[in-house]
Amino acid sequence: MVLKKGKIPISEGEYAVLKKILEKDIEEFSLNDAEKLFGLEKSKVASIARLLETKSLAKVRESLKEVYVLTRKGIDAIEKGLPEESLLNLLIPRGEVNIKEARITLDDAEIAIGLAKKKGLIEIRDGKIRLKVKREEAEKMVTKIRKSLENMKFDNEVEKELLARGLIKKEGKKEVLIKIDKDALSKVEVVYSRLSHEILSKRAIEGINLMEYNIYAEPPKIYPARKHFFSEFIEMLKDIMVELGFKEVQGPLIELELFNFDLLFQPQDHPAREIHDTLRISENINVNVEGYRDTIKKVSMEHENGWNYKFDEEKTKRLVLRSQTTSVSVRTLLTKPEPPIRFFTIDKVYRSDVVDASHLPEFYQLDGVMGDYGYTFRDLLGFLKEFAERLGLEIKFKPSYFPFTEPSVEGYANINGRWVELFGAGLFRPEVLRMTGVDYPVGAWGMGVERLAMARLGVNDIRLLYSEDYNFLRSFKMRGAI
Amino acid sequence: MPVLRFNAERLMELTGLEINPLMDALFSLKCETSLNEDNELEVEVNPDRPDMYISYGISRAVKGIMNVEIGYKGVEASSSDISLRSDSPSTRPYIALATIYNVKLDEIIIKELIQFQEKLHDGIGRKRRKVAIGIHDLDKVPAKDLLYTYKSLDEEFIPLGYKRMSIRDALKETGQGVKYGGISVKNNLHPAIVSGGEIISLPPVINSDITRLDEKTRNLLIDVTGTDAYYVNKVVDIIVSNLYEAKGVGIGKVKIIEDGKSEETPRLEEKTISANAKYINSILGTNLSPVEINYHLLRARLNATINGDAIVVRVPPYRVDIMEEADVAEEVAISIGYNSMIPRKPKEMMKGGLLEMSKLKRKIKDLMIGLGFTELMSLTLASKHEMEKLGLKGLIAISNPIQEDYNSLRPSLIISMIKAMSKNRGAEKPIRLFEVGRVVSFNDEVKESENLAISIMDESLSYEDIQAVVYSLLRVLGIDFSIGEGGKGYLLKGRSSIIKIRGSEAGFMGEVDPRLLLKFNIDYPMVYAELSLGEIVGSTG
Repeated sequence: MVLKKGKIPISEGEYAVLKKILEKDIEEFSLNDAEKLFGLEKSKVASIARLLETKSLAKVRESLKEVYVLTRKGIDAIEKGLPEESLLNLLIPRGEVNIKEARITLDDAEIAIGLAKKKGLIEIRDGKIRLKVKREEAEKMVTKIRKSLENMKFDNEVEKELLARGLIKKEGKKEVLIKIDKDALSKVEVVYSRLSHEILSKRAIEGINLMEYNIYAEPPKIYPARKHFFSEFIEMLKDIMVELGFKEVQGPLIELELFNFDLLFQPQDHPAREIHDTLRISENINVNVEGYRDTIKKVSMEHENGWNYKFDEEKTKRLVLRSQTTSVSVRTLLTKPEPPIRFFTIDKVYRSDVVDASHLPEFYQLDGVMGDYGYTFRDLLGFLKEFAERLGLEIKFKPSYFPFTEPSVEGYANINGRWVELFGAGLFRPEVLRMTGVDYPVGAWGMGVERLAMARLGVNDIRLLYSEDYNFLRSFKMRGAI
Repeated sequence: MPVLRFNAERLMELTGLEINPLMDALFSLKCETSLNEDNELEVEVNPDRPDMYISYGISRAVKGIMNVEIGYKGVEASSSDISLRSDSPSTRPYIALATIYNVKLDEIIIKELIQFQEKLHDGIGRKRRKVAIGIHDLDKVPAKDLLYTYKSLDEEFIPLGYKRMSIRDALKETGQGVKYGGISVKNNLHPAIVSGGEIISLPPVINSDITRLDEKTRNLLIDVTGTDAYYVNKVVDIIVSNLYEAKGVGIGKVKIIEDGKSEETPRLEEKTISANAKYINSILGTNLSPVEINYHLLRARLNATINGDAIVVRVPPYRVDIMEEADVAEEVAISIGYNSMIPRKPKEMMKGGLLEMSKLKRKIKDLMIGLGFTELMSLTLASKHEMEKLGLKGLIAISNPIQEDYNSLRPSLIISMIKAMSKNRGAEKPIRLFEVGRVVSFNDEVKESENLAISIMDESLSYEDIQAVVYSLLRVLGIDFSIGEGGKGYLLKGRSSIIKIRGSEAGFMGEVDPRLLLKFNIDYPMVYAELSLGEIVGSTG
């Protein structure tokens, strides 16, 4: 499959074009006539001509050809009518017209009268213009001039008149003339850029020339159909949790305050429970909490003892768009799972935040609980360290405060040299354990998923995680994400 | 979380630490810090430690953790010559007072006092509703016997920084009046503290100009009022315990007579909590002796008595966060240092696992990608107005939305998909997108479900283009389904259908009505299908 010496490589397509041209046996032709002569696109003929020219198999020259074009006056005549046409239009319905009237009515009255007279169409007598020939004859003569002008096709006589009247003029126009070597076909050899079924099916592979590619050239741009990069990130987090022996759980987005706040030992007048921090729904939906009667009793007692206020049981029934997935963790504890326990959830939570580069009204949170008889704060720290290590992160701990955990801790991760707050965690307070009816220590933690994803994926605007841009979604570069 | 600004020099002077060790010490005491351009240390103090809203409180805690000063020395308070009779105004019945002598007020400490007062108001005071504080120059108080009572709104006084006016006008015309005037007013009456016939304070709104503080002020009168007796007294305790940290400062008790009974405030009560060394060790995973635990408690500025494993902790009056044995354990952990505790990594093997729904979602995503679709992720909140354009029903509106664009929950994924297609009008066709996401609707009851949306936008399209995808997906998943007439209002009639699984409606598909497309500025055809994954999970082959 090597090219024969001395042969000029051309593509299959080019070969077909060349063959078609040479079949016509024309000495020299204008590129403008390619379509008419060979039924080929001008661009295809031009490109093969240039190729053959470099191999001395064609001569391409440019020549100037004189052609007639309309003058300004000519264009006007087409748009407004010839002067003699206007005169006839005036004359024909009436037979005769006062010359003075014609002079007033018509734009180019003198020219029109002169021309019509010269052509023997009218006569002037007693200051009046009369038609000298039959109306049809006069119209035919004028129409002929006009049609010639419109189509730019005329005989010698009309050509002279149009030139003389300054309606047309001569102009030089460039033309490409091509002359191709009659024996060109025997001097070229087809090389194929693509293998095809056609080639293979002929089983004539040995006689085929394959083109050598410019392997450095850019290929056409294509995109994969793909999973969302943020969705892949969430799946990776879930996989880590499952590897660490955690079972996934889920809970409702529209949540009772009982689970979102009360069971988490947030006092009912806590600022986080105010209207400007938590999103609520307009619908007046009555949720039956009969099944939680005993729990609500315990919650009421713990709140009144711990926070010194009168607990309002009605507030436990109010609905919010949950502000934390810890509500799912306490729901799970209420199902009385057999220890040791390890549960996690990754799901949406809502906050009253205006959209900007670092805030959205909803985002994903990862929440988990683990516990057993004999479970300690050091076990919690150990888990958090292990989890961070599996994410490839170095972390440090800082004491912190959450109403539902004690001791409470925050984890800071070293991301590109900066310590970024990663998660909040702690052992559930004895009050929370009593309210949920759990008699062994339970560690809990929660973290915002978007913030971690942004740090790991190198995205500096949270809105990009929810981009609708098709090409962005398909071309996003994964960096250390998976 | 409250962020407080402190003069860095002053904090360094009080604690005897250079800036970096100071910042490290604060980090180990729950506080994140940063130095700002004005050489102020910005300290994020957790809301459970209002005693650290002032430099004295910070320095007390830091000195403990640095072993400079340990334990709690107590506050010595003697009776003062001030007394107050309270009528317990029903909208704000509780009051506690204290006098503080020999305070040196410079510009820095005045600024801190104002900040201290503001942060106490915002947090523990619940924006003055629960607790509010007034600080007066004691020497300017007209008479020693005060009265806390309701006053008619027609009574006059001189609000701080204003001319003499009626209470009614003060509530309307002063900034504080507008903000807090509605909290305790009732039937044309407002609680007021009166001395020598003059109103010196209008809790929780504003003080009188008569007792205003200035550089010459040496002695203070503190009034704290509110709706919760416990926190009213706690706040007075926090204030006096902190100012008492300064050299030479004395505290005076004020006699409060109410309903014929009298008591003195500040109470400065120390709560005791019984803890147990075994419990603390079992929570922390440590093996500390009671003596070692006591050492850590002293560093946390807590005094305790030990009797075997029993540890009785005396909680200083300024600590509101120590409620339980678990809180004592945290104090010990903080003293040890979280980063000095050796983490114990999980050793026991347990079987983890994903929800069936999560597994199905992964399977479906993989198939959709195989079918040449790219995943879209969007928010569950959308604009009610836009969803109504599509005729969507069962919308759940947010009663307190922040932005119009996110004022309702989406009952269908169509809104997210049509908006995405609209954004991609200019991109090279075809656009092939899918989304797996939550939808929430209300129809007698709230229904939350996980749906799959599939859509194509191209130069030319027909029902078959979406039908082929849906059939392929469901058949590969091994699901028996059937097709019925109908569909959604935003799909073209006769060019759309519903998909049934086990006889019940599980989704729909078809061509989107071009009149609606134009409303969303889309001038290409679009086909769409949506399936409820709840109907699919469990029925896959």
